[in-house]
Parts: sequence; C-alpha cells; structure tokens
Amino acid sequence: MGIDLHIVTQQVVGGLAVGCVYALIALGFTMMLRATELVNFAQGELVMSGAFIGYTLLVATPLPYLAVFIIASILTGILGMLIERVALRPIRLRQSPLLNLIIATVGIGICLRLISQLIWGAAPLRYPVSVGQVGHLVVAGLPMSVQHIWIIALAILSMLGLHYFFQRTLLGIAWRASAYDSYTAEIMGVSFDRVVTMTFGISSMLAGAAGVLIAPLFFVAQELWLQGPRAFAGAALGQFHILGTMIGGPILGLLETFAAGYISSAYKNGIAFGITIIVLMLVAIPRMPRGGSLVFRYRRQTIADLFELNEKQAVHLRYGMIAALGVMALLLPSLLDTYELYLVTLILIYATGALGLQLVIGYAGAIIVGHAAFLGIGAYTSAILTVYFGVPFLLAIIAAAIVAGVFGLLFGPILRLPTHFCAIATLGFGEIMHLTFINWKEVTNGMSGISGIRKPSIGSFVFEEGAPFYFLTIAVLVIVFVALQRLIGSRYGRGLIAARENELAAVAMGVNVAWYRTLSFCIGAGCAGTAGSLYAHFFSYISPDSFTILQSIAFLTMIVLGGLGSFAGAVIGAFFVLGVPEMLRWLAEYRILIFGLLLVAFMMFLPGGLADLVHRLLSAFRRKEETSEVSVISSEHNETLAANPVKTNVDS
Amino acid sequence: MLTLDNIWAAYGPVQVLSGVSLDVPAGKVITLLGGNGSGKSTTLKTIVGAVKASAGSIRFEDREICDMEPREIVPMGISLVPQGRRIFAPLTVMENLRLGAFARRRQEKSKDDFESIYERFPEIRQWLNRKGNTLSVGQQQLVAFGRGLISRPKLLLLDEPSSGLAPILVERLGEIIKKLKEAGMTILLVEQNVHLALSVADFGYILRDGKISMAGPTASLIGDGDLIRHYLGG
Repeated sequence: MGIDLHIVTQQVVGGLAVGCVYALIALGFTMMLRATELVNFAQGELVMSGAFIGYTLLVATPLPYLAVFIIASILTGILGMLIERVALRPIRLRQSPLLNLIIATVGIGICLRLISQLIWGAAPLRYPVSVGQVGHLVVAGLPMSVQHIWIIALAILSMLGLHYFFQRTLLGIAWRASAYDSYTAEIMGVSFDRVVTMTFGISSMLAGAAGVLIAPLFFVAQELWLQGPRAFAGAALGQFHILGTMIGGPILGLLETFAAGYISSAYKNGIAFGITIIVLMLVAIPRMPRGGSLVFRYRRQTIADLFELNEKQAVHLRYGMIAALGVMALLLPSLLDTYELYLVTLILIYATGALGLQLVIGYAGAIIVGHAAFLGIGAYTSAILTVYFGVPFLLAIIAAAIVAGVFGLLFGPILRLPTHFCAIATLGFGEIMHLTFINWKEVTNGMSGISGIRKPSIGSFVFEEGAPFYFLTIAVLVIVFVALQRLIGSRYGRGLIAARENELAAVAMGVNVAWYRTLSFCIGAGCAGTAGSLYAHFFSYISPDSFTILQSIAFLTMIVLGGLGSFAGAVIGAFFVLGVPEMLRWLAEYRILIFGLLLVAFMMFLPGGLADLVHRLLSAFRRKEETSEVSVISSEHNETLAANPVKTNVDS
Repeated sequence: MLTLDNIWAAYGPVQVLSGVSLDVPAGKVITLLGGNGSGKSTTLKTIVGAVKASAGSIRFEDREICDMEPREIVPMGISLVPQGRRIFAPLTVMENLRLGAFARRRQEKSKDDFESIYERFPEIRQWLNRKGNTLSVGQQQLVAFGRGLISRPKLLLLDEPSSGLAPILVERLGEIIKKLKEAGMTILLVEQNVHLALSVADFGYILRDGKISMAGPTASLIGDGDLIRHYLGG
C-alpha cells in the first residue's frame, strides 16, 4: 500500500488551514494568560459569535468576504472589550479569587451561546459563500483546495499583523512590558486596566477572525464554541509564548488531521485534549509552592460564632437544626407530588457528586472542570456490573465508588498544575472520557447506551421509584456528607486546608501537599462515582450524553453558587442550579440565559455564593439587634454621654 | 514644587503611612531616609499614584494630584526610577527607553529626547538592541536612569538606586545625581545608604514607622547624633 501523494498533500494543506485557525484562537489564550493569568472560557463562544456576525454580514450586505472578515473581527473585538468592562472588571477590581473570574467567563459563555440561539436559531447554518472560490489549485502537479489556501493566507496575515503590533508599535511594546511587570509599566503610565481591556479586545478579535475563517469549513452552529477549549492545546504546545503559539496551532492541526486519517477518526476530537494534558503534565511549569491563598479568601463565621452562643447553646443549635432537617426529609415525600419528588431525588443525586467536587475545589483549592466524567465512570461501572454480571446493587455502588476513585488517583497528579492549567487539563480529561463512553462500544454500547438497569435492591427489598428511592438517596447523601465533614475535621483535613490557605507554609510544616491533593481528587471522584451509580439506577438507562462538559459545568456552578468551602453550600447549590431552571420552566429557553446571567451576577455581587448570602443576612439581622441594644444603653446613660461630647460623636 | 500634607496609606489592614508631610522645592535634592519597612518606597508610590492614599493631599506645581492615576500623573512631569531598577528583561534597551516616554506620546520630539539620553550616558547607544536580561547591574542602572529621564521630567523620584550596587558603582551613582542637580533637576531620593544620600542632598527627612521623625538641612543632620538613633529606631 503506497501513500498517495495527492491525499497527503490535501491532508497537509487541510491540517494547516485548521491549524492556522487554531493558532488564532490559541493566541487569544496565550495573550490572556500572559497579561492577566486568566483562562477565558468564553473564548470559544467568541469564535462562534464571530462566525454568526460574519454570517449576518454576508447575508444582509453585499460586502465581499474579505471586508466581512475584517468587520466581523473588529465587531467581535468590541464585544470582547464590552464583556471585560461590564462584567469582568468589577470582579477583578474587588480582588476576587481567580476561580470566580473563571466561573464568570463560563457564565458569559453560556449567555453568548443562548443569545446566538435566540438570534440565529439552533439549526446549523451554511455560509452563503466559500472563502475565495471552491475548487482546486494545482501546484507542482498536486491539487490543493483554494479555500484552504485562502484560510492559511488570511490567518498568516493576521498573525503577521499581530507580530508587527507587538514588535514595532509603542502600544504593543507597552503590552509586552505590562505582561512582564505590570507594576513598573504602571509607573511608566501604562494603565493595567487598559492593558486588560486591550487584551480582551485583541484576543476577541482573533477569535472573531478565526470564526469567520473556520465557518465555511463547518456549519455555523452553537457547537463551534468547542473549538475554543480544543485550540488551547495549540497554546500549550507553544508553551504559552506568542511565537510558540503561532507554531503550535498549525502543528496541532496537522497532528489532528494525520491522527484522524491514519489512526482513528473516532477519537479525533479528543486528540487536542490529549495533547494538552500530556504537554501540561510533562513539559509545562510545575507549580512552585507559594504563600497566600489562590482560591479561597472568605473566612466565614459559623452561626454559633455570629450569635456568640456558648458551647452548650451551639450544640443545641446544631442538634436542633439536624432534627429539623431530618423531620423535613422524612415528611417531604408526603408533601410533594410525584414529579417534584422525582426532581428532588435527582437533585440529591447530583448533590452527592457535588460534595466530592467541593472537597477538591473548596478544600484542596484546585479547579476541576471535568467532574461529570467521574459520575459517568460510576454510572457505567454500576450499570455494567448489575446488567451484565448480575452483581447485587450494594456491591455495585461500592465498586462504582472505587473504580471512579482509582481514576481520580491515576489523574491526581493533574492537581499539581497551576490553577488555570488544572482547569483546562481536567476539562480535557472530561472530554476524553466522554469520547471513550461513545467509542468503546464493546463495553459501553456506544451512543445507544445501556438500558434495562434495574432499580436497586438490598436482599429482597427493592427501592422502587418515588419515596423508597428518595430515602435511599438521602441515606447515601447523609453518609457521604458526614464522612466528608469528619474527614475535614481530621489531621488530613487540617493539612488540606493549611495547604489551601498557604501552600508554602504547609510544605514547610511537613504537609505532603501533592499527596494530600491527589488523595482529595481520589475521594472526590469516589463521591461522584457513588452518585453515578445512583444516577444509573434512577434512570435505568444511561448514555454518553449524560456525562458531558455541560454536566461538569453544572457541578462547578453548584459549589461556587452554594459557596466554596462549605459542604452544606454544595447541597444548597445543587438545589439552586437544578431547581431554579425548573422554576423558570415557563421562560422556555430564556431560562438558560437567565441562569448564565445569574452566574455572572453572583460572581459580581455575591462572590461567596449562597452560603455568604445567608451569612450576610444573619449578620445584618445581628447588627440590627445590636444597634437597638446600644440605643437602650445610651438613653440610660444620657448624662454621662452628654458630659463627654467626643464619645457621643463616636457613638453616633 | 511637590508638597505632601499628612498622607495616610495602607496595604489592606496594614497601616504603612501615618501622616507623612514633606516638601520638595524646585531645583533641590531632597532625601528621604529610613530603615526597612518605614514606608519610604510607599511614599514614592503614593506620589505617582501607584498606591492610593487614604487621606491627605499631594500637590504638584499647585495641582492636587492625590486622586489621579499614574497615567495622568506621569505626563505632568514626575518620573519614578523604581527600586531594583526593574528593567523589562524581555524587551530591548531601545524598547525600555521608548516605554519611558510612553505617557508623553509627544513622538515628534522623541528623537531629541533620545539624543539627550545618549549625550548623558554615551554607553547606552551601544546596547540599544540588547535584551534587558543581558545587561549587568551597572548597565541596568544607566538604562533605568535613561528610562526615567527620557520623558524630561520636572521631578525625578529615585527609589533606593544604590541597592545591589558595587561600591564603585555607588560612586558613579553619586556623580550622576550631582550632575543632574547641576543641570537643575529636582530630585526626591529615597535611600538606605546614608552616606551617599547626605553627600548629594540639600535637605533630609527621616521616616520612622510611617511618620517623619526628624528633618533638617543635610549639614545639620550629618553632625546630629540623634540621626543614628532615629534611623536605627533605638
């Protein structure tokens, strides 16, 4: 079998074309990381926006493709600058943790996807014209697609323009200076705020350009956003240098094309993520221990602290609350209708998984964007064991936890990466697992999934749908909750928190931070695996689509909205994230838009999540009580106060 | 030219400046001395607006600049040469110098500005295309001065220029400052090297725990036994 030179040429040119587009998107990531240390998770949505804007310009105006390419890029750049000014700058200026900014970009991404769906519809659109003309150009006897050559040419031209901007213009030099040392640049008069806005503008412009270039090759649809995270591999290959990224993108395109052509096309979309993980794990900067907390800056008082209860009262309060919750949990099935109970059970299953994620993010201080993969691993393990091998439920759920935990242990070293790299690497892990669920047909039955999973049973007792299953879920949730709470109170938990608060100090105290974090990932994955087993038996059917990045992001929002570093917050967050869209059902697709907006609004106005809201309300209530006490005292001691005007002043 | 009146500043909960007042008249070299953590660098950062004062007033040529951003203050004619020189390592010397003139944006005059820097420090001309991280400390010192002077400031703020310099370079530094003074430059010099500071300055302030604890013409400070006590905080 000889290699057909014609096919190879087409693959090379095609791979380069896609790769050059990757390079444009990846340059946005690189610039953002260099200037702000942020990974913009809305970068893919900006690519999508650029493609849609370009579509409208082509349909509604007689402008030629080249003009549309330029105008759409500029419009997308303006969109990016607006996003930064309106939503992200307030979050940054209040010195919120990096995670909050990342979540906010996730929320912005959701909004952009939904807005585009409302404007352009969910059906894929075809670009009215191709780039240049369709056809082939013959160079040295080898045919090349004219379209591909146009894409390569325009992308390279854009990159040359960017290079000129950085090397020759004063603004470009100022950007490089600020990316290297923002303080010194600031005292030269280079405003960091403006550099950040400029960075968003340029990287969004590049994303828009990429969107207009890549759209004629695919359809224009919301799915285009996935090009963003995929192109991140180009930035990783380029070691997050501007020039490196310009080379890394095309290499990524070629690798993808050839791997798809000669190894397997099924995993094509996973290749980029595989490269990202490998590059980050093997080559990228290992994280130096650093002082100060990356993720968590809220010191939350307990309710007992707040009301200055003594120990006995605090214990009473605790048991009182537990009793109240217990009674509520027992009464719930008789209060709710079938659908509501179904929903609550589902929420509790997700909450169990969210508890695990809370351990990893809220306590270990890592950012994980692929948690749904563990839910899937648990679900598949449990389903396969019970359906194909007739293993009893109790053993299956334990096996699900263990298998997911082992995966967590294997991928634990990811947690050594710096925060944002950890986020991208775990996102990649989630995507690869999703592709595995789809393509490992012998085990997972592919897209058709596994059906006929029986309701769980212990001995002869079967947990039927409705109240029995609900109580089973509650029992599992409580066990996981109490176990995690005890874990955090142990020596291990204290070490984990110490490492989160100040890694350098923890290392100096002899805490094996790397191992502690890996273990937390393992335990967190185990929780998700447990939840996955319940999930499989709850629906009696599972397919790969239940375990995608969308579910991973849902998990992430649960713990952030609920409040980082609070297990109760994770449960509340699960109710919020799954319950609110349900309550907004009458808004149809707008509810997802509102959900995205809520996510951003939370990060802007309530960075501590719902747990923080409760605390703020309580402390406001407490202050009110205090002021009324003070006024009583001051009226009693009116004479003394009048004799001392300064003190009166202070009191008022 | 520059007057600080009762300036307070804090980093989060840590109060750094607790009412600093000082005066820099035109054409004079004023030195601000003090031990580690006494608030010297913060005073300079507050003047250029990189740190926001929580209270007090800063007047520069009869304009209140306390609430302004660095990008507004720098073009008015204040230039800060930061501690440790902080040359942009991945940028060439030429690019470093261009950044010094960033805030001015008066590009038509920039050629003259560069020429005046080469005149003052002829060596710089040979390094123009070298990256910042290939320079020795002494070379960095000259580039840092060049970067600070290229915007033709009316007031030059020097933040511990002697730190990390070999004695022979400290000597050269003293000469540079003296020459600038002869050319009529107004300088606020923050130093740990008391000997250097007192040999070039007209007037000195001693900062301790965020307050001015002592002030006077340098001639009187040199003879004052209290200086050591104030300086070391004994």
